[in-house]
Amino acid sequence: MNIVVCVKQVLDPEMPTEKFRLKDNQVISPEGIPLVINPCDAQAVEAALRVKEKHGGKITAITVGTDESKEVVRRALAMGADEGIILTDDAFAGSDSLATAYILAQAIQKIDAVDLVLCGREAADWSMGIVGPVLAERLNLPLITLAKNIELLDNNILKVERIIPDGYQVFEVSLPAVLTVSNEIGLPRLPTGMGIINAVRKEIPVWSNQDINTDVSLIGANAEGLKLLSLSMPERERKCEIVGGETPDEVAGNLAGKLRVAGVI
Amino acid sequence: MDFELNEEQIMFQDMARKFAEREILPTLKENVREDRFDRDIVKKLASQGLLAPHLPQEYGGLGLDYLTSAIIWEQLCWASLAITQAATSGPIQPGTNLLDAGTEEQKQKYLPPVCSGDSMLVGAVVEPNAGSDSSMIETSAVRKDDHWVINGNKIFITNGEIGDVILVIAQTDKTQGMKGLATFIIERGMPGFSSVPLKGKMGWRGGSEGNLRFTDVEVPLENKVGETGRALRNALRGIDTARLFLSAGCIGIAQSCLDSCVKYAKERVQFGKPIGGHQLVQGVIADMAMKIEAARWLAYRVADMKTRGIRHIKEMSCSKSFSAEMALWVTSQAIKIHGAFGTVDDYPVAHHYQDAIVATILGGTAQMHQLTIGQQLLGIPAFS
Repeated sequence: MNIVVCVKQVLDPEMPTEKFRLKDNQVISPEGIPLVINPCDAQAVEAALRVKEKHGGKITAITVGTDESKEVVRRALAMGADEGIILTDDAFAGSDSLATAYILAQAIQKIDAVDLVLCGREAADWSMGIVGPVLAERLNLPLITLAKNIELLDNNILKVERIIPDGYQVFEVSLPAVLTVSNEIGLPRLPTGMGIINAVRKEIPVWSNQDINTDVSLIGANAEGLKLLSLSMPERERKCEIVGGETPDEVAGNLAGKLRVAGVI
Repeated sequence: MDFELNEEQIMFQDMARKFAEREILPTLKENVREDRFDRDIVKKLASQGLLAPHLPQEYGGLGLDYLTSAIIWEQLCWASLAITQAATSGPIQPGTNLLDAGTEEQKQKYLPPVCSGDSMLVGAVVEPNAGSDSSMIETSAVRKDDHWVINGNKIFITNGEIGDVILVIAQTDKTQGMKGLATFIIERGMPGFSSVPLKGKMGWRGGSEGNLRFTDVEVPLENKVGETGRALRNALRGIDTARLFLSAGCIGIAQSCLDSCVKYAKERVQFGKPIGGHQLVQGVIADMAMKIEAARWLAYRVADMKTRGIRHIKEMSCSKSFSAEMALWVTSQAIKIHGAFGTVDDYPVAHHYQDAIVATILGGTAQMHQLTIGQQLLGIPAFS
């Protein structure tokens, strides 16, 4: 089983919002706060590791970014991925989700006999969830989004539980295929100490545009399929209300009622 | 001079913090209230590679430098110094001692199971009449034919009640003083060895402490560690490692208190504004940050010296003493900033305060370290 996991480096979504700054419709990265692996991508790595643990194989983590992006690949390696690839080139700079998916597709086609491509359901920065589906289209492979459980059956068939609002659907798909992994797959494992030591010492190949032969008219800032019109900080209002009741059951009922009225549940 | 942590150190820092958040924090309140040490944490730390980061890989450790190891401890203690200390003390003090002074056979037999969390190693030095003054050790070791016979008591021993293998310092010849001290390996189950838990602790709750009793315990000759007369010197190497980790742990608990204070001071509104907007509160928080930063870089400096094999007796005493006293001040101020909420365990500050008090004693009091620093500077011992 040859698995490729697409990973992305993002601003830490747990960072306090006051640390963000916006300028000219761009997010300014705060100094001193390291970028992290997109949490949904860490779950995709976790899904890949579970498949590998049961059926063996090889996991390659791949990212589009800069030289700094090696940290996100190292994170995947420290979790248990076997190989990493960094795709970096001036021509890639400013690529939107569509272009990124195209770059990834070109690179994945260079990897021998890929059985399964996994992506996080979305990235914590823009939350678009586009890369996985477009990647499947570019690779001309079947796609299942929002996978919460993956099981390899005989004959190269993957059984996938796909999250829907009221439950989940069960699909079977022939490999090779592309999956996006939902957060219901569970908490990604932490890297182990030996995983970190090995990851830091591992050479990670860097592929440029020359290595993957993209059509430059389809990548980079000039190829924007999506146009950002404006970017602003959300207004946040916080208030505290103590929910009362005579008994714990009544308090819970009152709380549930208020959450329902507020549209939270 | 490069003050930047390298990529590996940052990854360990991040992983250890997340481990602490996932594996220590969720059950902390319950464990502290009941003063119960959950031994499962030892196995979890081992499988994560965090139990013995400084010990060599050939014995099951990670072979990391002391700075990275201290950073790991700092992050684990961010959740709880008591639990981290109990879970990892085996590889630290007695583990380092065995590594330095043990035979290859002893190291191969005892260190791998300790690093895998299958066995808990305990260091037993302190006695009712022998704290900082180890020359007062009364536990005796008498050679008889093909074995040693150990008699005596040890108190305030981390994991004394649950440890599997005990490194005991005992006196082989009272007339020789320090030169008569030797180290012996005693395994739980040897006839004549018993232990009781230490109860009623004001700090170190959620950790594990016990008192030990040895009554005619027969120890094979091959269980003697190192030469007679070098026991204290060998133990001090482990204690030196323990002091470094304690320094880092104190920084961890102080940082946790600062984090909690910053959050609380922005949320808690009194007199029409968040209390963080009141100058006196802000001043305390600023002082906390200053002291933590100073302690952190002093500890990191000592860790680097230790890794590079540079003599660091004075610096280690400076770091351990400064970190512990800093933690005591920061944690006590943190309780005041949290007001009455700080005195209950819904916030982390009370637990950290209780541990900070113990940390000022464990690994040597501030006064003992003053004497060490003074002796290093003046060349005049003032211990007696």
